[in-house]
Parts: sequence; structure tokens; C-alpha cells
Amino acid sequence: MTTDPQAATAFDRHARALHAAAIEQVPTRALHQLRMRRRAAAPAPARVPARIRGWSVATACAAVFAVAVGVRMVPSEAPVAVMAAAGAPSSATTAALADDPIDAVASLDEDPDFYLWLASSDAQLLALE
Amino acid sequence: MQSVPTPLLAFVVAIAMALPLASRAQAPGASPPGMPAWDSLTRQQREILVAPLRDRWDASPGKRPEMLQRAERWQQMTPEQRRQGRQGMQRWKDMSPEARHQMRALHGALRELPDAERAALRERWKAMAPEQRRAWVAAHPPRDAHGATAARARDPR
Repeated sequence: MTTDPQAATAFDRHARALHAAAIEQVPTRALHQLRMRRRAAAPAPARVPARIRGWSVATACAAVFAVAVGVRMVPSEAPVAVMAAAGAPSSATTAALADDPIDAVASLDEDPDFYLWLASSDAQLLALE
Repeated sequence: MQSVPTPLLAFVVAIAMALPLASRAQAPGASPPGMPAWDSLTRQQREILVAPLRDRWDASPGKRPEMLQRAERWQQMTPEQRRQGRQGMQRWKDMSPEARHQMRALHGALRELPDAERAALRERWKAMAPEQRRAWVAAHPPRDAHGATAARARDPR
């Protein structure tokens, strides 16, 4: 059986007209009661229980407080990037430059390869003392 | 009677739980009591530590290129090489001025020789008496970074 679009549209229009006419026949009081019962049967919108709202607020406040305490514990001066920009020694250089600032200066007094040679067994054999 | 805790009580409980976490969020190096890791020092503390190097830099304009070159060489070294270098530095610190002068001269000469001649110089040196070594150093004085003859016993100690 083939469907004729024009016939379907005409049928639909006729059905709607019959329905509208039938609605007009229903008493107003009955219509009101039908609406009320329809609303009562629909699912209620979800509401967050009060206790869950309370926990959420408390947790958020605690998180803000913890961050504030943590920020105050961090030194306010000289983040790494600033010191790096200011030319501070990298970790490799500080490791190379020995145990105290004076040794760090002494490390630049001579060629590092000379220091390497001095540590070798070859240099020890050749040393005057 | 309501059995659910009030938001205020919940806040107090959450704070009690959060404080230990906040106090643990200190210097990540977990260093013992005393000075923290470099990254946790204040700018003023770092300035104090870097001051000797800065003073030397400012005091020796002519030596800045070689100072920078040597710092770059330290950075290129492996950790083991740096350890050995620090060991060599310690030996250097313990040497007399004369010994330092001789080792500078000897190292300078050895570095420029091919392998065979280098081995020969080593053997000659081992066989030399102290006077002979002094004479050899006088004839082969150490050179500085610019190739000029370095002054004898001019050690910053």
C-alpha cells in the first residue's frame, strides 16, 4: 500500500479538527482537573538535599583556606624563573662549584681539565710532594 | 532532632583534615632542619651565597672570558668528572706555591706533546732530582690562558 503525502496531510488536518471540536465539548471544570492530575503525575525537578549543599560549601571553604595557608608558607621572594633570569647558577653548576661559595670561586681559578688531571694517578706520581 | 551535622561543623572537620596537608606542602626537598634547598632560599640569601663569585667577576674584567669558559666546562663534565675535579681542587689547595708552579708547567707541557713524547717526558720527570725539576720548570714556565708566561707563585691563597 503506497502512502500519498497529500492524502496523509489531509487526513492529519481532519483528525486535528475533530480533536479540537471534541475538546470544546469537554466541560471547563473537567479540563482543569485533568491538568492538575497531569502535573501531579509528572516527575518533580531534582533538588539538592540541604545536607549535601552544606558539605559542598564547607569543602569549598576548607579548600580555599588550605590554599591560603599553603601560599603563606611559600617564600615570597625569588621564584626559580626570576633567579634563572638573573643568571643564578643552575643545579649542574652549583653541583660543580663544590661545597661552599669560596670553593665555587676557586673552581674558576684554573682550567677544570687541569683539576681533573691533578686528581689522576698520573699527576700524583709526578707531583713534587 | 536532626542527626545530620551542620555546615559549620562540617567546615571545622574539613579544616582539621586540610591543615596537615597544607603543612606538608613545604619545601619539596624535605631537607633537614637548617637551610632549605636552593629553590626555597630567599633572593637575599642567594645574593649572599653568590656574592663571592660576583665580587671576583667584578674585580677581574680581563679574566671574565676564561671564567665563563671554565664555568661552561664544569657544566659539560659528567658528575664523575666533577667529583674528580673537586678532588683535584682539594689537592691543589694542599700544594705549596712551588709545587703548584711546577704542576702548572708540567701539565702545560704534557698537554701539547704527542703521546710518545708525553710518555717520555713523564719518565724523565720521575727520574729528576728536585734541583733538576726546578731547572726544567725555569726553562719551561707555565703559560696562562692567553699564552703568556705566568708569574711564578702568584697564588690566591
